[in-house]
Amino acid sequence: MSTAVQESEDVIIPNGVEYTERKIGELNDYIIPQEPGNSNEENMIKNVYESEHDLDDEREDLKTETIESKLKKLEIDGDTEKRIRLKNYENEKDMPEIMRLITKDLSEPYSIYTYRYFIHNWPNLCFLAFDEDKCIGAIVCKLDWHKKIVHRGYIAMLAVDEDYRRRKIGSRLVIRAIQAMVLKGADEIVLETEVTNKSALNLYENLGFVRDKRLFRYYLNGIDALRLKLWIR
Amino acid sequence: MSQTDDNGPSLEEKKNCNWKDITKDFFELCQQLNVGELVHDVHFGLFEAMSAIEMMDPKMDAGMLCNQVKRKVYDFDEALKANIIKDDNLESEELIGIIDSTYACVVTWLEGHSLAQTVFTNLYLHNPEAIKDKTLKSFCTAILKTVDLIRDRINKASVFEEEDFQSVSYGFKMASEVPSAKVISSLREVEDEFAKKVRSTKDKGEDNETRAKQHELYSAIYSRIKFTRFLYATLLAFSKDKCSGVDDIEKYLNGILDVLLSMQSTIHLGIKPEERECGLHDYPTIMGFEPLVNQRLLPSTFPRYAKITSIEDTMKYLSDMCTRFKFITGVTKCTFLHQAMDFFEDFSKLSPCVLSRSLLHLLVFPINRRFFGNEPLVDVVRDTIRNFIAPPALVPKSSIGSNPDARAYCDAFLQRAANTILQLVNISGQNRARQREKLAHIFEELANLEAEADKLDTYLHRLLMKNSQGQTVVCFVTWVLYHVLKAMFNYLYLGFELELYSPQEYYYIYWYISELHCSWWIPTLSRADNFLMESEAMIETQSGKSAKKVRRQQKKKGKPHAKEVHTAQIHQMLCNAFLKALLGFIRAKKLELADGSSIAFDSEEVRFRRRFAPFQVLSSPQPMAYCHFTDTIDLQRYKPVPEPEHLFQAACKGFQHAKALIEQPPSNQTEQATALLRICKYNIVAMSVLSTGKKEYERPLFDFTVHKHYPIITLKN
Repeated sequence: MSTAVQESEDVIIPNGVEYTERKIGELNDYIIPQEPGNSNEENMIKNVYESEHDLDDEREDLKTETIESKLKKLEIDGDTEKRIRLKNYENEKDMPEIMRLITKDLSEPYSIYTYRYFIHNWPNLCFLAFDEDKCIGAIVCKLDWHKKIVHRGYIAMLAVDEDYRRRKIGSRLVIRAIQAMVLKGADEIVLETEVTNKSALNLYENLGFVRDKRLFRYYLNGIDALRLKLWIR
Repeated sequence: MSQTDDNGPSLEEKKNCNWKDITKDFFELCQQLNVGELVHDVHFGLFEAMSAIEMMDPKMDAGMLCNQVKRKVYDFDEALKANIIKDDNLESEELIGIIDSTYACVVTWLEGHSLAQTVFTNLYLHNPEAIKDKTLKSFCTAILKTVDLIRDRINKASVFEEEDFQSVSYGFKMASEVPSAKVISSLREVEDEFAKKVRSTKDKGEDNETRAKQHELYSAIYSRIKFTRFLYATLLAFSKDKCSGVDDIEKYLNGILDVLLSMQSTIHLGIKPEERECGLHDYPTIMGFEPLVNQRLLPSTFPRYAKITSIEDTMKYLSDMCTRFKFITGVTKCTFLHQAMDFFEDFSKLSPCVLSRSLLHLLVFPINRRFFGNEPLVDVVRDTIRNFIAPPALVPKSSIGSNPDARAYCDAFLQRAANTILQLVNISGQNRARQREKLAHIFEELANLEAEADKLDTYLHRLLMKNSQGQTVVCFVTWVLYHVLKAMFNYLYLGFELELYSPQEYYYIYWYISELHCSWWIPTLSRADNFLMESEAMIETQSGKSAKKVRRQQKKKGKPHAKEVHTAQIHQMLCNAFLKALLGFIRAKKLELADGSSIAFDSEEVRFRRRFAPFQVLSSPQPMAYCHFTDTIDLQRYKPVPEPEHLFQAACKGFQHAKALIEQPPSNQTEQATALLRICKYNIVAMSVLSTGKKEYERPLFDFTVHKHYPIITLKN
């Protein structure tokens, strides 16, 4: 009874359409918030998570080997930014900082359960950026099955403190998250952003993301979204 | 925590329970949990917690909004009793304000917002029966009927998705008991009354100021009521069977635009809200409007914050909408299915509103799914194929046309094809973003139809051979291919329009389009031409004319699909020119991503494969492979390897050729041709500058404002 996450057997799917998974509020800079997520696959994700290493150890190794070299190339060096450290989410104590960062750029705050849904289910896909003791950036992701055939990584939220922007910290966070998702077997990585959010588009397109789809009037403020996608294989 | 028991204690039992406060125990027990541990019900996990609404949170709980406003929210009856709204003897300024704000709400609703949060924030619409003021009553009844009719039309046409339109009516009464004729006649009465008032206040010399003011006010109301009548009458005429209302529509619309002009010039006369409440400045708050009256009626989808369109924008919207109405009546001049389908395409390119899309759809394919309400679609498809390629099986008096088995087989195919056609037509009625999404899925259907056509062609061919009548016939396949290719072009071009491609991708997209044009589209059209002319010749010679004479006649008349072939050549030429220009930029290293080579996952081959993935299901055209592309653009094949300047020079020539083609007949002076011509002219200049090799620049910029699919290339210094 005290386990952190237990998914229910019968998941209610709210209409199942991507439009019902709308984001709340318009976003500044590059925050890419979540979908409240549909998914009758919630259970499956868990199982996959727990079993992927037993089942797929061999294949997994092969995969990571070929991809590891690619991952290396992704590392951004730069002496000036060495003091900015990235670290993995540890526990609930990191939560207030993540919420502070993301809420700041969001007109309508999420409830703490939105954060918990992502971060407790996929704690190793959440990263924070620190300048000394100050948390100045965060990324929140998930990884589950899309239409039961594609292992899809999803970047739910990304935020960088205003004073630390234009220093590639966002890119470093995204790269770290991509690495983690790829090692977990992601086939593709997606996210949505406002058509007008040029800095987010720049960041992701420079990492190889492609505009896969336009979602007409996707946001609550009536602005279109672009679905960005990175195909891993 | 234990699971809840379905057969738990009844209410009666609960009353008799001995309640015990466990708050303290609860918090004590919580202390024993480790960080990150969560106790929850089996049926209520993190996902449910996230999807739930937090009660009392002002941003999430719609019921909390009322706590932000320090006043009572009245419904119609309460507001009347409290003397907040009038139901009789409204001032002219009040009427004008109410009418304009109501239209602002209607327009906002048409842009995809909920009826409850827009139109029905007007309290008068909740019960027009109870309104004593004749003008307001007629207006409100007419608005309800109009809204109801619009809803009916859009629902029936079914060319919308949830982001386009909210069809829920929340059980509001739509004045269904009032017949439409009554609505029109009572509007007319009011209109006549005001016409009299307008006349009687015409300038007669004395007491100028007040009289002139009165005159202005009466004219403003007169034109608003007239607009309301015209709009409703137009929509009624659109709903008539077999396009029989088209003449009336044109009549009404001619008047409506003038009326709108006079409405636009009198907006300032209406009442304005006195003070604006915090958080509500996006809504009209003049007399009769209560933004909060339906706050608990939430849409079925995620509630979007509705900002009511400004009255100025509303008038512009209505005027544009009426212009669109006028445009769509033009479809009745299309006699053939392909013409009508092209009309749909052209109209869709204007990104029209959901109402005009729906009305167009219903004009051509009303509920009975007959073409213009008249002809069964199967017959129309048969005629269309006959006109397109004249298959022996569909030509009158042909030997297989009279074979009952062959006819049955053909009919089965036509039935099947008619369904696909309907799906294609439906797609072209959707919003542009959805069109691309839906097109990606139609290729499977088209591939199946291709297979059916192939089977039919083979069968008919065998039959023909038995009757020893000549060559291989691939008529049905060719016709299906025509639609397959159109869908492919649409899919690819929509990517430009929706801003999905990055400049690094343009070159393989243009390459693919160009290949489709020259290897598939033009041959398809020429094959159809040949069949048509052969069949025509056969009929003419059968009727006694000499073969020579027939041929001469045909030559004079020109090939039936010549115009389409000509357009295709222009597009192919343009795509090729762009391909060369883009290769030049790549070779000059001016098209690289900002981060250069650090993009580990950016595999062009993967992107290429994914971009054209929906075509994989088709048997023809065979999907083109990435290596095919890299082979054709491989500059190493040339000796010496061309420099960027050479490529720009070649691009320049390409644009010049394209320009020459556009200027030739049968190109018409269409908007499309003019736009393409401008693109050629600008790009010729840019390319010739670049071909000197002396131009310093940082990178090329691509401007799609003149044409959605082809950019003007400029250079960023």
